[in-house]
Amino acid sequence: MHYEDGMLRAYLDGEVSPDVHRAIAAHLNACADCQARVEALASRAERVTRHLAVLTPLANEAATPASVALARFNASRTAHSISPAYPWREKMNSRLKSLWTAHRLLWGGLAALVIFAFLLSLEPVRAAAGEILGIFRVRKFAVVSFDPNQVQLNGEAFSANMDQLLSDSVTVLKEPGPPQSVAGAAEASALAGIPVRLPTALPDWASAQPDIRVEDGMAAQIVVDRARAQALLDLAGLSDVQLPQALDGATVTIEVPPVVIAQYGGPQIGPGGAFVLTQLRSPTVNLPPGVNLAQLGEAGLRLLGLSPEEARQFSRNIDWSSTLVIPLPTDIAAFRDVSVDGVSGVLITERSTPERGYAPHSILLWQKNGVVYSLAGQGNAEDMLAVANSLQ
Amino acid sequence: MTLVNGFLLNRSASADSAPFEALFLEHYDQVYGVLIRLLGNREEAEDLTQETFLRLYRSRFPAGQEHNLSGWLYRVATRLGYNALRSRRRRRQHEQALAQTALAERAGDPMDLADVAALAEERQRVRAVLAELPQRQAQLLLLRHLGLSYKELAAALDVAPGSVGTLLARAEQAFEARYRAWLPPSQGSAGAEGGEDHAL
Repeated sequence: MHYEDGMLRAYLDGEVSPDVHRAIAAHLNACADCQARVEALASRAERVTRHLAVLTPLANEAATPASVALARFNASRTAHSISPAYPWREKMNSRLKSLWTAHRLLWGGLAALVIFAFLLSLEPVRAAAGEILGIFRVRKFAVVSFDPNQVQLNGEAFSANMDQLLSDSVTVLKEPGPPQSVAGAAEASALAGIPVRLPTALPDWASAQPDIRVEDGMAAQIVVDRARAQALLDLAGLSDVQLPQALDGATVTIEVPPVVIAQYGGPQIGPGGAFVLTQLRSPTVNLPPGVNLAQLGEAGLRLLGLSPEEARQFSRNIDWSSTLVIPLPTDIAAFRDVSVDGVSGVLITERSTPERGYAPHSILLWQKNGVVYSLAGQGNAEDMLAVANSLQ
Repeated sequence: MTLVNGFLLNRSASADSAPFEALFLEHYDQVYGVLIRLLGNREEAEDLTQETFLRLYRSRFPAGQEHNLSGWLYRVATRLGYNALRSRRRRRQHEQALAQTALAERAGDPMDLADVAALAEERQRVRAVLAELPQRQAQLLLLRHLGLSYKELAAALDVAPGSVGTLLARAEQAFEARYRAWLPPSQGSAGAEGGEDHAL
């Protein structure tokens, strides 16, 4: 009688009962065949262990503190909580996930970059709604296209440093509250402190009654450590980008007012899926005097991989104190300026990819009377604009 | 051999009543630890760690698994990591370059460049071999390496406890065969492999 390899392997690991262990040990003394096999199994196990040991993490591969990871988890979970069951959101998320790298970078504690960070980390619906932050105040939108392959944020050392800087410098003053369902526009207006508007012209497929929720706002404070932020830029290979001296020790506060989210239609995939209207009083970012916003903005653009010339050119043409700059990866979506709700806005449309089996999503963004609006869905541009133009 | 300190399969008996955040904090390092080994890329490992906990969060602990939270997390994490590793094989050259850069960038580590290159190649080889193995074999080897007992392995991978020895022996055999047969994608020469085979 011989023992099977599996039993011998378990014997080697001390994973058999004491009785069986004794029996096997006695047998091995008497059976050259099993003895040879157990030795072969032991040496193979030892070699495999040695091979796998090379995967042991190095010092620079250590985990982010669990508390920081939890904060990130909670932030993205909040984003998911709007409608976690919607498959198309899953798809969108996975699409945007590659941008998390960019997110990490941009969370450098620099006020201008916080804007990008939120947008990059969250799916468009949410991005357009709750987490839009403005430098001072959002008056208009500008889109900057960038090539994700050019983003200047490779390297482990960079990630480690940025995580540390982030955890050291950001204090959440007020956590975003849980969504609260409301009965209608009036109740939402009272809670959010803005005159909530709803569309009066709906596409045939949309449900007439929206599901309306109000999410309480949030506030955060960043104390900037200029030297460390500059060191991060150096790590990204952007030593020529100089952060303003006035930034050192500066306290930047960000406030996001309550967000009203009205969702129409069901969760089905394909044309006629749900669309979501969000509105909130413009978020604000308070920077200390003397900080040159254009300079900060340029630094952010450089991190996205723009050349010095492109960054300067872009920066010159916008008013950083009132323009929310939306970085858009060239391979994910296209954009165009549109006239909407009596003002000018921007329409961002996911690049059409028939093989993914669903219609492209679009987001319409505009600002009117101090309120930032976004409309996201899978309708065509005309439908989206018609809905937006019918707000009352 | 690296062991996960204090790992106990049934530690979370009170899982269903414990706040989610406490579970997150308690298990984060375990989940990350398995993913960083599989992937060798911090960002990717962190992303999938988040994904693992998101699945846990959404599932509100799968029915009947409350007593086995660690096992559940390990199963999900190794599956996600394995899938990522396999899809990465299609862009192997990119991965190779990335691994070299990442290792070379380590500041202040007392390794010379030859060591860095050797470790990078060895890691690439081990990961490539794991990716070639059937999923369950890769999961089994990795989790056993992390110190799970047979009982814990059986629970995490949903196999009979009595079959773990057999499955492990097979997995080790398969690993070794593929390890020996592996060729660096860039060169295809026997250089690196020859040296390794002598060591065996």
